[in-house]
Amino acid sequence: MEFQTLSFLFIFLPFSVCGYYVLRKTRYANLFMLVVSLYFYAAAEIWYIAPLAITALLDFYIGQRIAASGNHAVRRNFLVISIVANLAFLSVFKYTTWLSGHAAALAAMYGVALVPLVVLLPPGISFYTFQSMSYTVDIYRKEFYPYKNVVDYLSFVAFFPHLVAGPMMRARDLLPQLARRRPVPDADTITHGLFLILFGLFVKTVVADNVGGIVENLERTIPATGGGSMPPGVGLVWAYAFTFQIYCDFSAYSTIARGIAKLFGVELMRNFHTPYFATNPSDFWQRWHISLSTWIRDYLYIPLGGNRGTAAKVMRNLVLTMFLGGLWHGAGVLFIVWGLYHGILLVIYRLFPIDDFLRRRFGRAGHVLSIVTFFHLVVIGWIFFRAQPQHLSYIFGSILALPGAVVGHIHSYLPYFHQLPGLNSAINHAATAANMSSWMSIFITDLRGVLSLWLATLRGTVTGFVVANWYMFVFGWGLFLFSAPAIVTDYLGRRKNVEFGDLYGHFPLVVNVALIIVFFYSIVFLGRRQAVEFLYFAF
Amino acid sequence: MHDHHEAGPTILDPGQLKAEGLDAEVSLPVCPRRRLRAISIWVAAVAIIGLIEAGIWVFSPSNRADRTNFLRLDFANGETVQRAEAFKKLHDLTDLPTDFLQVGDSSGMHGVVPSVIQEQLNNSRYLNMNVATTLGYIGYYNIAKYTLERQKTPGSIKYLVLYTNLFGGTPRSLLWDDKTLIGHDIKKEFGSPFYSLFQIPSLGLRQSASRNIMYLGGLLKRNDSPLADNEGYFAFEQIYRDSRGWVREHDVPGDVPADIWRNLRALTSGQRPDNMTPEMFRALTKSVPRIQVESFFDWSRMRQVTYMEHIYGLFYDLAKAHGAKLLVVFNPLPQSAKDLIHRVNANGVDDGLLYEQEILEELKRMQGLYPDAYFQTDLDFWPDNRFSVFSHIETPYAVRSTETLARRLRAAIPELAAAPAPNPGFPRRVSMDLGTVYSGYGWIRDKQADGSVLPFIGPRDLGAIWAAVDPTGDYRLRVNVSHAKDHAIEQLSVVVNEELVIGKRLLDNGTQVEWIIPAKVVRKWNGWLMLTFTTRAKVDVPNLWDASVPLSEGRSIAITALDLRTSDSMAESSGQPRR
Repeated sequence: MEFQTLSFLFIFLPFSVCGYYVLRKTRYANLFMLVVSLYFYAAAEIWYIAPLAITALLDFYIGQRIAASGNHAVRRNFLVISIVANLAFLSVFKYTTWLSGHAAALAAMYGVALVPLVVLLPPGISFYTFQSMSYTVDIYRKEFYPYKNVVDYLSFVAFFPHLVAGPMMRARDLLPQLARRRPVPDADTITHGLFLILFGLFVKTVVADNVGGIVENLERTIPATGGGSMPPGVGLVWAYAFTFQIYCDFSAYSTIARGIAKLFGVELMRNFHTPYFATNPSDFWQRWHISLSTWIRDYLYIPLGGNRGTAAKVMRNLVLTMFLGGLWHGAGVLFIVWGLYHGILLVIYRLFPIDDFLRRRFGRAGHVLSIVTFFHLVVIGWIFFRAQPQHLSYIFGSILALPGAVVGHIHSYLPYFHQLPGLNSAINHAATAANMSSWMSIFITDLRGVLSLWLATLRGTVTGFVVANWYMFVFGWGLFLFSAPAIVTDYLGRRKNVEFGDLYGHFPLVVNVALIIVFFYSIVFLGRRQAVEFLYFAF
Repeated sequence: MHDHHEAGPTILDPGQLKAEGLDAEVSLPVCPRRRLRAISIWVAAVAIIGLIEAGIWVFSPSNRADRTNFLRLDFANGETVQRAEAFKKLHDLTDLPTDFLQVGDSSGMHGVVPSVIQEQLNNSRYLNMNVATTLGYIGYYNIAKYTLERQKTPGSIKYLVLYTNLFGGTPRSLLWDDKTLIGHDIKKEFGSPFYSLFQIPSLGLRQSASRNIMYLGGLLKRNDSPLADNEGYFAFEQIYRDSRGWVREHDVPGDVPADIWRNLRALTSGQRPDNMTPEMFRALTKSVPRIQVESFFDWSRMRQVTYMEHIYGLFYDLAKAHGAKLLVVFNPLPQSAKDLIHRVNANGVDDGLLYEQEILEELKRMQGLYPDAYFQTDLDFWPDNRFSVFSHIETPYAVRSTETLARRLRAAIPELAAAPAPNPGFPRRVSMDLGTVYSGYGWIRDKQADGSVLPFIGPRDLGAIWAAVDPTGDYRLRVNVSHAKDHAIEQLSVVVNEELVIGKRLLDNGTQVEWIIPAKVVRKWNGWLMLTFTTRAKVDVPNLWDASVPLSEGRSIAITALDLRTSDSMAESSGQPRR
C-alpha cells in the first residue's frame, strides 16, 4: 500500500487512526496497530510478512537472552548470532540475484551454463533489518532494556508509517513511545500532522514524480545499442532531475511518515534537513538520510575507531564506512562506486577544507559558492547511483559536449555578426550632416537601426540555439518548473534551521491557509497520475 | 562523519516507565487560543476550497470524463494511443442515444462500421465502443457499464454486443486480473463510486490548467494538440465522432512485413525465422501462451469457475440489469490461424496455440447457462490477405466484416430479420479545416482573433489530415491559402499516401493552391488518403516526422480550408464534393 493512494488516505488511514483511539486504553491497542501495519505491508504480497516476522522474532528472542545472561561471552555470542543472522538474511534477498547473475556470466565464459537465481526483494527489508539489529546491539551495550511484550516489539518493527522507507528509528527512540498509553494529540499536533501529510504528498506527486518522468524520458535518448550519443546538455538536465527526484521522493516519504505518526501521537525523527544546502560532505551526511547516517555512525564508524587514531586510520574508517553505506543501498557496482566516491569526498574535504577556504576568501559569496560547489559534487555522485554502467559514457559525454555545442553554435553564427554595421558607420554617416542638429538626428536614427540589427541577430542566434537543443530546453524548463518549489521551500526551511513542514504554525494564519490551498490545487492539476512507487522501497 | 553523540534520547525500560508513572496517560495542557488557531487554519482552507469548487461547478461545468484522473497528462509525454482513444470515446460517445452498444477490442473498432450495420439492422442506432485488447475485459465491461448508465433514457440500449478476437482475446486471467490493463483505470475512474467522490469540479480544468502551466500557455506545445503523438491516433481523431466509433485500420498495407504469416508459422513451430535474432526468438517462444479455458477458485461460489463463465456472466448480469440482450460475437480469423490452432506435433499430440474445441464447448455451455443471450459457437476463417495483422481486418474489408456481423445479429434477433440490403458508401465529408491539425513541439507565432489561422513554424511545419474517397480516378486537391504569406505558399508541398505530389498551381490571384492527385496514389490505400502538408524547403519522404528542422523566419502558413474533389467535378464546378 502506498501513502499517495486515495484508498490509503481516505480508507486505511482514517480506519487505523479511529481504531487505535477506540482501543488505545485497552491492551489491544498495539495488537491493532500491528495488524493494520501488517495489512499495510502485505497488501501487495502476503509473503512479505515472512522475512519481517523472522527478523523481528529472532531479535526479540535474542534480546531477551542477552539481557538475561550475566556472562559476557554468552551475551557476545548471542549478539554475533543476531548480527550474522540479520546480515545473512538481508544478503540473501539483496545480493543473491546480482551475485548469481555475475557468476553465471563468468561461468559462461568458460562454457559452463548456470541458471541465475532470482530472489525477489521485500520492500524496506534493509530498513527493518537495521532497526531490529540496533535493538539487540543496544541491549548488549546495556543502553536499552528488552521488552517482554512481543506485540509491543512487533508493533515497533512493523509500525506502518516508517516501515518501508524509514526514518530508520531505533528501538530506544520509538518502542517506549509505542508501549506507553498515549494521550489523544492536541489540535496543534493533529493539524501539524495533516500539514506534513499534505506537504509530503505535494513534494512526492508534483515534484518527485514529475522530475522522475523527466529522468525516464531523457533516459530514452540514450542509444540502446552502441554508437550514437546523448544530445549535448541533456545528460546535465538528467543528472539535475535525478538529484531532485531522489531527494524529494525520499524526503516526501519521511515527511508523510512523520505526519501520519503524529496522528497516532508518535514522534518520528527528522530524516532530512535541507541537504542540498550543505557546504561539505560531513555537513551533507548530517542532513541527508539522517536516520541511516547516524545509525552507520553509531554502529559502524565509531566501533571502527571513528575519529580516534592516526589521520590515515580516520580516513580508512571514513572510506570503509561509506563503502558499506553504498553497499547497503543494494547490489551493483555503481552503488559501491557511489559509496566510495562519498568516502573520498570526505577524505578530500578533511585534507583540504574547500568550504572553509571559500568562506575565508570570499565571505558570504564564498559560502554560497561552497554550497554550489558541493551541490555539484553531490550531483556527480547521483549519476553513479542511478545510471547503468553502460550509460555512463553517454551521460558524461553529453555533459562535456555542452560547452562545445555553445561555442560551436556561436562560431557558426559569427559570420552574421561580422556583416553587421558597427557604431562607426553611424558616425561616418552623421559626419555628412550640415549642422549639429541634423548630425544628431542622423546619428540617433542610424544608431537605432544598428542596434535593432544587432538585437535581431542576437535573437536569431539564441532562437537557433534553442531549436538546435530543443530537448535540453524543454526538459530544462520542466526541471525548473517542478524543482523550483523544492528549492524555495528548502530555502525557507534553511533560514529557520528546520524542514519546511515544521514551519507550519510559524507562518501567519493567512499564509498557512494559502499554502494548504496551493498544495491542494497543485496536486489536483500537476500531480503525476501514473502510479510511481517511492524509490527507497527498493532498498 | 562526526563521532560525537547528539543529545541522546532517554533510555527507559518498561519497569522504569511504570515506576515513574509514564505508562499512564499524560494529558497535556493546551492553550485554547492555539487550538482555535490550529483548527481555524484548516476550516478556512477547506471552506475556501469548497467555495472554489462550488464556483467552478456553477460557472464552468465540465464533462464527467474530464473530471477523472484517467488521462496521465505527463509532462512532455503523450498518452498511449489506447488510453487516448478510450478517453475520447468515453468523453464524446457515451451519451449518444443508441439501440446497439458494442464493446470489446481493436478487432471490433476497425471491423464494424456503424453506418453500414445500421442500414442492415432496420436503421437501429449502433455505437462502436471497442478500443483495444490492452483494456482487458475489465475495461470492456466498465465501458459498457458507464455507457449504459449515461443513456438519458434508461433502458434505451436494447442490445449489448461483446465483439472480440477469439484468438488472443479468449477471457482469461491475463485479460481480467493483470494489473497493467488499462481497464483497471477505467473501472476506478468511471465505474467506482468511491473514486467518483474525489472527482471534484476543478478536475475538469486539469487538462487546460496543466498544459498552460507545463507548456507556458502554448509556447512549447499547443494547448489543443492531440493527446497522443501517433499517426493512427490522428486518423482516429478525425473520424471517431462521425463514424460513431469506427476507425479505419491503422496498419495500412506496407506497414506489415510481407512475411508475417510465414514468420508466425515458423515461430510457433519452434523454428527461428531468418530475420529474427536468436535472443528475440528465445524471448518470443518462451512467452507464447497457449490459449485455453482458464479457471480459478471462486470463493463466493465455493467452486472452480472458468474465466469465460465469470466474465460472460458479469456481462450478462449487466445487460439484464439494463434491460438489454447480450450478444457475444467474434472477429473472423485469418486462414493461417487454422495451422496454429489445429497443430499436431511429432508425437501426435495436439499442441496448437488455441484449444478451439475446448473453447467452443465452453461457449456452448454458456449458451445453455444463459439461454436468452446469444453466443457465437463457430468461427469464421477468411483469407489472410484480408487482414493487415492477425486480428485486424484491412480497411477495404471492413464493410464485409460488418455485413457478416449484421447477418449474425439478424439471425440472433428475430425482430430484425427483415432488414434492408446494405449500401455502405464512403464517408461523404471531404472538405476539411486544418484548424485541428497535428503539431508537435514548437511555437505559436501569432494567431488571428477569429482563430482561423494556424501558423506553423520550425518543427511544427507539418499538417496531416485524412480523407476517404472513391478509390477510382484522380482528384484535384485545392487549398485555400488566402491567409498565408507568399514565400510560405512557395514552400508549401503536399505528400499524399507517402508520395510527394508535384505540379502545384496557384489559382485565383494566389489565394488557392491546387494539385492533381494521380489515380495510382488514390488507389494505393483503397481511397484512404493521408494528406501531409509541409512548408519544409526540402521534403524528405518518407521520413516526414523527423522534427530536426532549423528555424527560419517567415515559414508560417495558414490553411483555412481544404477542398478535395474529383478532377471532373472540379472542372465543372458542380459543387459536388465527390463523384
